[in-house]
Amino acid sequence: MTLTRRILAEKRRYIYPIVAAIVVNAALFLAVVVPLSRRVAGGEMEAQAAAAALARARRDHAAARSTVSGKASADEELKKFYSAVLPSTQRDARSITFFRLNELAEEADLQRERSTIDTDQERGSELGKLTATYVLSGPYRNIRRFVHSLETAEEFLILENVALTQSTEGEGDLIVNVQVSTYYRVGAHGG
Amino acid sequence: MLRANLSTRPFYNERAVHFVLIIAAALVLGVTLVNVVTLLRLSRHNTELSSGIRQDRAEADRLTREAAEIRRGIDQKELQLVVNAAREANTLIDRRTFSWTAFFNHLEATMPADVMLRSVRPGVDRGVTRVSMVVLARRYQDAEEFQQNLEQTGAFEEVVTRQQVETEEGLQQVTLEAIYRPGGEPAPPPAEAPAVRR
Repeated sequence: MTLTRRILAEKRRYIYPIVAAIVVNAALFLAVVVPLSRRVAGGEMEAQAAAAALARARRDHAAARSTVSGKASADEELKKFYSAVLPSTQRDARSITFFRLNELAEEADLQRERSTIDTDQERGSELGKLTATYVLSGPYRNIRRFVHSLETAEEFLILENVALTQSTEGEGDLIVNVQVSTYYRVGAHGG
Repeated sequence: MLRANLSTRPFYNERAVHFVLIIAAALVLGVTLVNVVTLLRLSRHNTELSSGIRQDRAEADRLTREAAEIRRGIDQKELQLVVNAAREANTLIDRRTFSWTAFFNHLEATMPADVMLRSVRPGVDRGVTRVSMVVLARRYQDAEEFQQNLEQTGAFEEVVTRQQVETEEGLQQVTLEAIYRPGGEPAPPPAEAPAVRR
């Protein structure tokens, strides 16, 4: 019997438990710890995906809520715009446009050659459009004054187009053709 | 002196063997402790993750259901009408706030002596102002110079010639289009504006 075998035989009551403990540890590591750590790694990815899905759901929820609140506030703003900013009827739009444009042309010392008014409504729009075409004549500086007064006027008047031609009368005078529009709610108060 | 070994088997160093066994046992105990601690830590973390995932999924489901309910409560046609009306109102406001005075100031500062403005029409689409201008020039080079001057102001971009025709008087009638981005500087009143060049 070699010395090693003799030591193993004589100390087996200490050696066997140590070997058994090593085997149990190895089995525990391979059968439980390794699969569990893999499951945890997978779980972490799943948790990230769940957190991302939750963030998406929160954004979606916030978007749905803001749609409702945005619609309500847009409704409110539109009501204010229609009632306080735009003329309420076509008649109002017509009188405001005529009255104001004549007044502004007079203030700017421009001569009114002719004027026409057209009404129109775009498809799918609740607003009617009233376009006044004015042909005025006078010096360029007066035309600039007229344009400035028009764009700073309180009334909702949109200067759409400006066309200039040299006048055959009056030295240095120009003829200006301006298209000014305003809008009103169709159907409101019989407009 | 008697020199004889009477033992039947030779001695070995038992202390060394015991020392090795104690070291081995201590190592095994250490590894066991590490294993157990790792197992407990992983197990607790796994439980926390599972619970977190369950909670997140439940919350996400609840929010998705609520969002769907909120959307079901919205009349899509009505919403579309409001969206269209708001877009239309914003476009009108953009057109109303277009500063013709600032625009004319730009034109006057950049227009060469032999160029005259014939007509101008701005249009606002999705917050971008495009202007279409018809100018009369003695030579086409004058219109080109005007085009370059406009671009140099920084307020006009993508200035392009859309049409060029010669009038009966021998002048060049040029239609220009450009994107207009006013710098936001306050427009001086027309009295301070330079005189027209004709």
